[in-house]
Amino acid sequence: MIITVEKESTEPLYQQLRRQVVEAIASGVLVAGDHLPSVRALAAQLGVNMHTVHKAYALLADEGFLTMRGSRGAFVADRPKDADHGDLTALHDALEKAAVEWRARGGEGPRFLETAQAVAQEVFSPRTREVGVLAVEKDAVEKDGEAALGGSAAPAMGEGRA
Amino acid sequence: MNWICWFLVGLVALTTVLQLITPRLMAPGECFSVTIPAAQAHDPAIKAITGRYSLVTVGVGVLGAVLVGWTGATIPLVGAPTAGQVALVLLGALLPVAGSFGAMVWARKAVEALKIKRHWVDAPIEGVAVLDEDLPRPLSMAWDLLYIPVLLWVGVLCAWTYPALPAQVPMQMDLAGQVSRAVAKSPLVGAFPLVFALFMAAVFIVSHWWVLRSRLAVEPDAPHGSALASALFNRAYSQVLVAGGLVLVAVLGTVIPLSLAGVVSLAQAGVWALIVALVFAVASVGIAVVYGQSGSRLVRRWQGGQGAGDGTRAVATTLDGHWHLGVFYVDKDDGALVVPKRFGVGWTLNYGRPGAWVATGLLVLAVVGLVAFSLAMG
Repeated sequence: MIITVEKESTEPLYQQLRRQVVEAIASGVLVAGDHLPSVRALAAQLGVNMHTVHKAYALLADEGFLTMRGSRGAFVADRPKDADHGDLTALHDALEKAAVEWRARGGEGPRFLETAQAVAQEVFSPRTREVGVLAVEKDAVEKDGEAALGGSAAPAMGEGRA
Repeated sequence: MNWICWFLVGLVALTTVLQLITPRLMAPGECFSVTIPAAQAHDPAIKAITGRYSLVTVGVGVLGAVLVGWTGATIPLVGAPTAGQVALVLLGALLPVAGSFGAMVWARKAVEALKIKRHWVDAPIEGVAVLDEDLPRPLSMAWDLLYIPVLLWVGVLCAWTYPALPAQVPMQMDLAGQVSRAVAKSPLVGAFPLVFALFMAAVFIVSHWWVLRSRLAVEPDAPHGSALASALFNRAYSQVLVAGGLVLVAVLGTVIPLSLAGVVSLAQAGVWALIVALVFAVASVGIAVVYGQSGSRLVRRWQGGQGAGDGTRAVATTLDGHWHLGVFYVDKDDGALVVPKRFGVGWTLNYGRPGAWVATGLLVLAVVGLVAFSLAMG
């Protein structure tokens, strides 16, 4: 798995980090029990302040995506079997916010539904998410270094996937 | 010329060769500590700048070697060299390093100007982490526990040879092999080999720790391959550091007490020390040549000699402006204490973090402490 943060982006660094971890969990790249690097190690590797990584981890832990086990570091949390009321409320709020902003900009309802459906299909497609990033790239590196080294052959998380 | 002269000239030559090949050991997207589009590494202007750097490096290298060789030849076989002769030898030895550094600083400015002239732009600075449990890891710090039996052996040898030390312990010899400096026997003199071995072991252990703490040199345009190459480089370097350090400390910790006790001559001890140091230096240079800085040559080979990315974007994980004089890295917002060098093989400290200043202070204290200990012996 690759995490990339753009240091001059308008999106805060901790949000970039949080978003990519959430995407990795959603796509199955990270599964329950996976160990994430320590705050110090990830901050050093990304070249960002330790507070940035700590803030992202704390946020992810608060949201239930990670569990913090003291000195052992951060681990991907188990997925709840059924989304509880709190999750559905958050989902409802996020969709409502997106829909309201879309309409405020003059967008039409059918187009919103069409886009939302396309996004959902992309996110929930098991083939796309499980094969796209790690399995292919990792095998390519192990079997043939050249395959994984050709320019932008290895897309960062959050970028387009096959 | 005597063998000391040849050794010093050889040392200057080795330093010059290392400085000469350094630009060729760096990633194609890093030119004299300035990021450029990797595809432009063969730009004629870049080649011309590298050529001038090479010319100056060879020039000062030859000058240094001549100075060292000529001065060394004038040192009398019997008796200590004069202060002037020592100063000239030091000047000759330092000239290639200082001259080459000056040439690098000039080349850096020239590449910066070229970057503007060619309209090469910096891609957004990205931090990249490859979270892969299967990446090769450097040797763990547990290997450094092997220094314990080695240091115990040195301690036992010091205690065992102490009764055999002469009243005047030989510490230095002239070019004819005659003792030119001796100090009165004392517990401090007897403990000197152990203190020296402790100092050497500490230097190697800290260097090993640096490798473990350093970040991988991951290129945003080729993250998997560059992470793998960088991890392989780190592992190889840690192996040489651990093996070389243990052998060097063991050999020096054995021959120094034996030479103080007169079991072997100072010359024999010196030859052993030089042989081990030479093997260690050759192994280090070998890694630099085979892997390149942080595995950059491996990446280039895997890419078939072509740099990744397009021809106008300079991709980097750190800003050019954070590299002062091309070698001192200062970024207080960077969580890394140890980072790969932009020019040279190995790592440097991020002086934007307090830990870097503490580490530098401790190193200076350790060197001062060793010198003070030597002086205290008389």
